[in-house]
Amino acid sequence: MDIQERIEKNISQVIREELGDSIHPDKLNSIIKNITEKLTFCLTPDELVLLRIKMDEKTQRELAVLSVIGQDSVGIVAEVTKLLAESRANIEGMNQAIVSGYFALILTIDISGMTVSLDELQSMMDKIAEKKNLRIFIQHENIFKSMNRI
Amino acid sequence: MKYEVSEILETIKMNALENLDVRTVTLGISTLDCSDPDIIKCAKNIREKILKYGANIVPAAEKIARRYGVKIVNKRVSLTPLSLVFSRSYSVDEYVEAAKIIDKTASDIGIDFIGGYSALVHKGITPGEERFLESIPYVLSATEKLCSSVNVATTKAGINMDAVLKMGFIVKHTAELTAARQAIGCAKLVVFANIPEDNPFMAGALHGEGEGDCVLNVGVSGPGVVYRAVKALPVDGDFDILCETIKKTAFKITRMGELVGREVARELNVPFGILDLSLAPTPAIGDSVADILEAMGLESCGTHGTTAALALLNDAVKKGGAFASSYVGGLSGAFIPVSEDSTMARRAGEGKLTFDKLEAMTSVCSVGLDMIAIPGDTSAETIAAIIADEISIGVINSKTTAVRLLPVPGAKEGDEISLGGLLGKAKIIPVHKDSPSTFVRRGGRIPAPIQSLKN
Repeated sequence: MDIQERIEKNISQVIREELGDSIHPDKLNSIIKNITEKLTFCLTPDELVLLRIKMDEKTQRELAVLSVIGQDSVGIVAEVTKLLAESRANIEGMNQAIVSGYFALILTIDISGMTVSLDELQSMMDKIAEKKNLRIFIQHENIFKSMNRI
Repeated sequence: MKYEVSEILETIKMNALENLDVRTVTLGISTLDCSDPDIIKCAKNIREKILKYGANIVPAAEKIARRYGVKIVNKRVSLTPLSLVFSRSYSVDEYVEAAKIIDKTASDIGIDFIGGYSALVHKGITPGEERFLESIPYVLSATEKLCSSVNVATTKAGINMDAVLKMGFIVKHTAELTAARQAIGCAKLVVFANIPEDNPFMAGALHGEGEGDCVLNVGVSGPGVVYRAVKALPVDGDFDILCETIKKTAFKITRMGELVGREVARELNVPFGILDLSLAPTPAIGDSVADILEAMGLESCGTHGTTAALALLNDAVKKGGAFASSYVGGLSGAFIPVSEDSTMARRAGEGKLTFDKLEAMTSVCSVGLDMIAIPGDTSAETIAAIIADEISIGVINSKTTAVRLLPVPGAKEGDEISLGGLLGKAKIIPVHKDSPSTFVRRGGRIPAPIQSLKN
């Protein structure tokens, strides 16, 4: 979605919330068009680029890799993912395998919107690990990027 | 998935099972601006400067270690050679008092070692440096974390044989003053040729004069990872496969080290300096350089072929590492500290790895005759001659070499000493008995070799 569309969407959302059905749809569209144009033209191309970068920064993800290794048992995935959901860590990728007889669950998680720190998440995971006789590692993705990508 | 499962599992295996760690993050701090005619005032200025930059080094390193799931074994500080900072001659008591203030600062901020009780005397010794050198044994016996290094030669200047002889006596004296603790003072004292200005490894770390106010250097470890990679190869695989495997492994180790180093530097808000890509063994089982050499196909480390195996290991590590890091520095090569490498210590104890073979090995790797326990009755002149031999390998080959010997008082060939922690344990190995005294007592300098005339 380009910047103009985003502005348009946000303005229409505000007007709809404030005025509801009391405004005629044609009138609404003409107000939105007018404001959007004015806003867009009051910005220079450079400022538009900067705005774009800022918006991208805000939405940028920060990934970590969570690996669960150990004896297979019932409910591992459920417990781990429940904790991730409670911590607002979004699962971006999931892979499960049996390596040399061991259970290995590897999750790529987005930690940018987490309500707890990586340290806190690790210590909560440690409790699950202890209970279920597993090892759980949470590592920032940069370590995999630096060791495996040129 | 953004990363292959095999890539993720390999990294976890390296960290959790193969002892891959960052051996040290070392904060280099310039103390040139701490000088004061009153040595105690000077030491207090140094304390303030260390606290200014280094107060948070331990929590910062631990935070980054947790973030990446990588152990950072040691946190250290290196200082400008203190013989340059202490502006004139002082009494031994004054040197010791000043050293204690610096040592206590190291304890206060929770670091493992602090380096820089050092002097650069490769061409000549000033009267102040003379007194400073004489204080080293007393300082090392009165402090815990402070380390000392002395540069006695460079390829450009030649070998200062007066300094070499003096260091023979200083090593001996240090051993005597710390006799009750198996000459542990000597584990904190290294004699160098071509000392690097940015080495993060102890006991030789110092912050060179050409460095900025503060910089963070990092030293990676990783013999265990290389060992397992070599061990997994077919025994009849050719040298091409062997070297490629080591190179690729070194690349990964180095990238991890550089990432961690840069992150710790950013956390402390200081510039990142260099990465030292040495393979540094620890006494832990499976974290041995000698194990790698034996995995290449030698029945024991020390037999014929050991020097060639070490040469190829060192070269492959450098080639893989140089590509992985933007700024390689320090010592950068495989270390062979005997007591710190469990298999090497065992082979030396069995008589299979001799003193002379160790010397030959140092011509193809970094550092030198390191952490070798020798009989307590070895004379200062013999120690000086050992230093001269090792230092000439460095001078002629335009590389760093060093000597860290422990002439343990009262100990004889075959006795075992245990130093604890990363310093490990070793049996006393014999040195040659015939005297080199007349040679080392000639005095003066051995001139710079012809290859130094490059301008």
